[in-house]
Amino acid sequence: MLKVFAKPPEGGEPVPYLFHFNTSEAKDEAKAVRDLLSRLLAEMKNSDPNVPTPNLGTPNLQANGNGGSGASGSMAFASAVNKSQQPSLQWFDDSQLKNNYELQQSLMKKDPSLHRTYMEAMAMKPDTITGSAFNTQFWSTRINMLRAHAIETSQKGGQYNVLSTVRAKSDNGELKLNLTVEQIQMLLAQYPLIRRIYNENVPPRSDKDFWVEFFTSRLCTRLRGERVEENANFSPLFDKHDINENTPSHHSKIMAQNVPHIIDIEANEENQGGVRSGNKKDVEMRPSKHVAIVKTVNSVSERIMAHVAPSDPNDEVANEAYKQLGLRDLRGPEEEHRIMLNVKEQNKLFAKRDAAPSSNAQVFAKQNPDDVLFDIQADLATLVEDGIGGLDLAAGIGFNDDSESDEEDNSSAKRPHVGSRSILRVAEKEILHGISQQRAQQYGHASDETTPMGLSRAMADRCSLTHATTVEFLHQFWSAFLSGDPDRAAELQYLAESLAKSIGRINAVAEEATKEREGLIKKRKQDIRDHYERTGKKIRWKSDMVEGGREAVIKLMQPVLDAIDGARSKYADALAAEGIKVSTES
Amino acid sequence: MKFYIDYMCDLKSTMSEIEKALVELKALMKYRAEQLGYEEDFRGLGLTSRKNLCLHPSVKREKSGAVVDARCRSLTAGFVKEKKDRGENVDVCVYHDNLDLLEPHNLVPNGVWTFDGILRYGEENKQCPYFTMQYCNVVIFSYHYLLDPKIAERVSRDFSKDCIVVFDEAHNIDNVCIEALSTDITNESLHKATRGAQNLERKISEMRDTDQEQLQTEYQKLVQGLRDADEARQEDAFMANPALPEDLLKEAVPGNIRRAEHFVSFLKRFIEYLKTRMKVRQVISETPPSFLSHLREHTFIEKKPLRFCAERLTSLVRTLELTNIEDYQPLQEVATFATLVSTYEKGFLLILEPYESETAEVPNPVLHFTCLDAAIAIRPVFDRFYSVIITSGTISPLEMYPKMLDFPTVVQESYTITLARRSFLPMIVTRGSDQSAMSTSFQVRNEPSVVRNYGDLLTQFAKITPDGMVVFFPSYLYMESIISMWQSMHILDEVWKYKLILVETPDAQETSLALETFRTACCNGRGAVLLCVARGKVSEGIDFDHQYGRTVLCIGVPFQYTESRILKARLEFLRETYRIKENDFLSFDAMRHAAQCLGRVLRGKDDYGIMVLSDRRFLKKKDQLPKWINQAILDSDVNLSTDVAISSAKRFLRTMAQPFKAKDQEGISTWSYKDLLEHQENSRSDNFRIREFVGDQQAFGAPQNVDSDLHEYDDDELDQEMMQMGMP
Repeated sequence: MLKVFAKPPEGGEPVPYLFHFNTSEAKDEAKAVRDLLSRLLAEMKNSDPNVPTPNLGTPNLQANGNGGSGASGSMAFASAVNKSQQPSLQWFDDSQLKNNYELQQSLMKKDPSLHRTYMEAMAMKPDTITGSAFNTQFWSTRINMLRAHAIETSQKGGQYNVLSTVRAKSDNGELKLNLTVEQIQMLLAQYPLIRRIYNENVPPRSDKDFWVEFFTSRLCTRLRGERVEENANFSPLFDKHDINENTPSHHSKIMAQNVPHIIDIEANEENQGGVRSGNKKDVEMRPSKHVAIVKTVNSVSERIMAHVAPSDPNDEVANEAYKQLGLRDLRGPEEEHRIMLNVKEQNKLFAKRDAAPSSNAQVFAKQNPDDVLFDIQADLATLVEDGIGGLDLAAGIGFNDDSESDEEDNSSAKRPHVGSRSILRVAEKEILHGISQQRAQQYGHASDETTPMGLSRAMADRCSLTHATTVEFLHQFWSAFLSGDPDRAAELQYLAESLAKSIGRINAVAEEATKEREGLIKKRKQDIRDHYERTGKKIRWKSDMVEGGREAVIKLMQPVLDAIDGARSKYADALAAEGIKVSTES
Repeated sequence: MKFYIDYMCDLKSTMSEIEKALVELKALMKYRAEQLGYEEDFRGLGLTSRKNLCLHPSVKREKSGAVVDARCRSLTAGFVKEKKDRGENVDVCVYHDNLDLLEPHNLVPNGVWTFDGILRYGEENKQCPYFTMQYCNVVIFSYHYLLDPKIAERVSRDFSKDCIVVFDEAHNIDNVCIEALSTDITNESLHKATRGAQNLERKISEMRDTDQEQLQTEYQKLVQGLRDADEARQEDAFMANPALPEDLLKEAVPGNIRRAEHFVSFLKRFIEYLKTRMKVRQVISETPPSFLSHLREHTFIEKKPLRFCAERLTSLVRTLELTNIEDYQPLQEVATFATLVSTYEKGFLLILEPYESETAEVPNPVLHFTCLDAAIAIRPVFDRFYSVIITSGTISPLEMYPKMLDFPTVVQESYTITLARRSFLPMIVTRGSDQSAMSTSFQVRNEPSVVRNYGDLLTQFAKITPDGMVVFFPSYLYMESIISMWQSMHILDEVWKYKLILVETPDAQETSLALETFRTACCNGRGAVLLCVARGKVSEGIDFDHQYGRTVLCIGVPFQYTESRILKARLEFLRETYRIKENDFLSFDAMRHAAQCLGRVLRGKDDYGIMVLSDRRFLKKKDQLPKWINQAILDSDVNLSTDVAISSAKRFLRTMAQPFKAKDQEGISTWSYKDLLEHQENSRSDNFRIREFVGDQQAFGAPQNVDSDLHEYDDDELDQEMMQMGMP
């Protein structure tokens, strides 16, 4: 698109001319025209010093790079949208990086020497440079660091081999082990066998006992792929299971497809013509099949990669694998992969909007802006002079500044109206409440860190553990449920049952919390009794003042419980739709 | 520039290689069509086993290649079709029979067909890809099909003498030749062979009752000689013969095995003899003549009928119209063995090993009939084709191959690589960070300090390498033991922090899956380490280019197991026949495999990677690496310790991270049309100058022949010297 403004020599409105270049071939023509015009203009400008720089007479040249008319506008729009959606684009925008103070702060926090440099430079800067100018200057030479940091911080860790990170440390002859919630979650996700055992045994057994027993069991050693020693601790809970039970029931995405020919070792072996040749491999080259670690290592890696889209898609048409295979340096220059956008008459695409403008727009369309403006100005001009002394905004909303009376007497009599004190108070309260709630949600109460809702620390930990495991089961449930795979129906049923068990687990925690609370109340009562006996004074105390207990746990767990209910009802619905009754309701 | 390949067969070692070559060829032909403005009359195909190409809905599901072959034959054999034509109710394969409707020389349209492409085409047009493989300008297949006499018939028949044969990836060709002619016989295979013979006997008696005539015609044919039988052989010949001398084919089958019954009982006698030999509880190694004389003493089996065993069996199987060939596979092995042992007096050895290993108590005897001379299998190829090219990225030293394969070279050339930047970093690491030497030599390889140092090397490189990393071990046994040790030392835990770990396993399917996971992890950014074996399945044919391999780590020199009796016999043979010293051969063999491993990481000039050789013993073997690798090793990158190697690698990776545009390579490692013209101009003027120079010389009456004579004289003298040195 080329837009040329021509200013008639006698003055007056400049007239725009639009030239459309619709095909890619026309791109060159557009460029040629533009170049010619700009050269002529430049010459004119040079020869005529009277021409002020950008004035209306200067043609506004716009030739978009791609030759498609109107494409530039839409592309700018698209990139604007992308900018707000994709952080990745921000990484490449220097000015955004330079102005991102948060990012700069966090980078300096990470790199103390950089921080020192910054502070020194800041102190030594001449006064003529403003803070922000200095800032821009300082970072403009360190854009690469900012970018690296931005990319680094926006990355999230993926799955990893959990068992390899958890090792018991021997401390004064005692084995000590730290497990984080995240690790437990990942253990359950990576090892279906552990998940099953956990699900079947945890309500009677406590979490702690479960994990302690697991990490001392032979099963754990075997899952790590290590050799089990003769005198190793035998755990009846775990060691009756075979590690082969751990192999997933369904295949991952990678396994689901054929391997491309270029890495198909099985086919390579077949390729020898199907005849076994002589010279059996010597001892060194004969693999023994009993090395557990090899299998373990492969299966762990496969499980970690199971949820990632395979690198060699099984698409017959898209020969991605082959594209990769090509010797890139032998290829000619890269072809443009962009799709040429040839929109001929853009208006057609947006015809709908033009066809039915809103009723307001219709009204406005009929009006002449000049007339409307004139009317309004006239109204405003008469406002002061019409004798009332202008508009009283306060009166307009019924706010009575003088009324000292409190709301008690007249609130009932009068219908509360906007602006009355009582309403203002209520509004203020509401707003403050909202803020505090927001704050609480975002940062939590001071006590939440250790003892949320009055639960003791141990109890809180248990809650978070139970929460994590429940979430894991929910995750498993949904992935099976949404897969729509009829083969996984049995698995799904099992998972639905395990959700029911999860409720049981939460209740078990809640019961324990109640017990704990009762203990506390009892102790407190005893204290009061003691105090009374000693001093003869009664302390006013209600047992409600002790927080925690069942309510707290349930409150904490409410979202998860809701999620479980949701999941189970969905499942029941689905079953009903299939005409099967839920037989396994617990 | 115009080129046209009239006929060429390119031979590759694995199917992966074939597929890659086909893809490249396709790209090339596309480019030529673009440049020339028209499509050439050109057809390129790959050839592989039935298992890889079958489309028949039930047959292709079979797991084993042998079963696929057998079931395919039972559906497609000539007599099956005859039966069908006669109106009998037999199963046939639609895909195969549709081919009969097509013009036999024009089964597929012109073009280059990859395996995927031909499979898709076959599925669309309902025609069998396996039998579609024929007349074309370029055919690419595994060199087993040309070297292994047991399957060679399948393809080589169609080739004319002027066909250009290219053995690509031929660094291991001598081993393929040797394996193709060697046979291992076990108690189990003998047992199966007996059963096969009994089956044959039953079939013969059945046929005698029903179709006496057919046996009679066969007999007549055999009287006339094998030649006719050879001509009568149809496309679907199931069992082929070992490479036989020309005169053998012209002779008539000896009288005592002409009758089917006689032949079967003859075979049975031979099998029984072998069974008694297997009962011996000590290691025996003997030459074919000694074996034959012992055989004659005990069973009165003569050498002559024995030579015809394989051919006679093939003929019989054909006469009996047998389809389930895999039942007779062991029997065929025995027959092949009989033919080979009675045909070649030299270059073969029989080794009987009663126990699997030194420490084993329970006997599990194996009779190795091992070929020692690679030249035997490849000689027919040289005899038959005018132009044979042997090439590989990792053939080094070149002189070894003509020696081992016993042929004179017309042109022998080693090329370097031109690179616009130093895109690979070969290093030799000899010491761990604690400065103690690292080596996988037998005495020290299981010492904890060595294992820990190797583990440290792995961890350090896993830490700094982006994306993929490949580690090669000298053998399966060592790999398994070192991985177990690393696990118990918690070294793997450390590696897990940076990369996923995947290991090559004995199972091919499992390994393919592991490879796919590896590739996914590399593309995904997670990164992975692949642990595999230098002579294993992964080291041949699988590339680790670009992100799939940024570091290749060669742990230890991949020597062969020197205690192996087969290897010992071969070494002795090489010394006495070709005057190649034991240590020279062992070291050559180890280094070609090491080079093969290193070469996996670099594919193309825009690629980059680190190559680490970690063994003290690599120091002295550096010069045996291919020229392009050896030249790239700087003196400062030799004899490093782990920490120094790491810092050097870090520096290298940092330079590789700098932008590298295609433009930077122009004129250096990639040439434009202009550069090419310039070069042509230069070389033309060079040639002109040389011709002038030669002309001058001739004018002065000094013919260059004198020079070359002198050289030959020198060579003889050298040979004499070497002979003296070689003979202790």
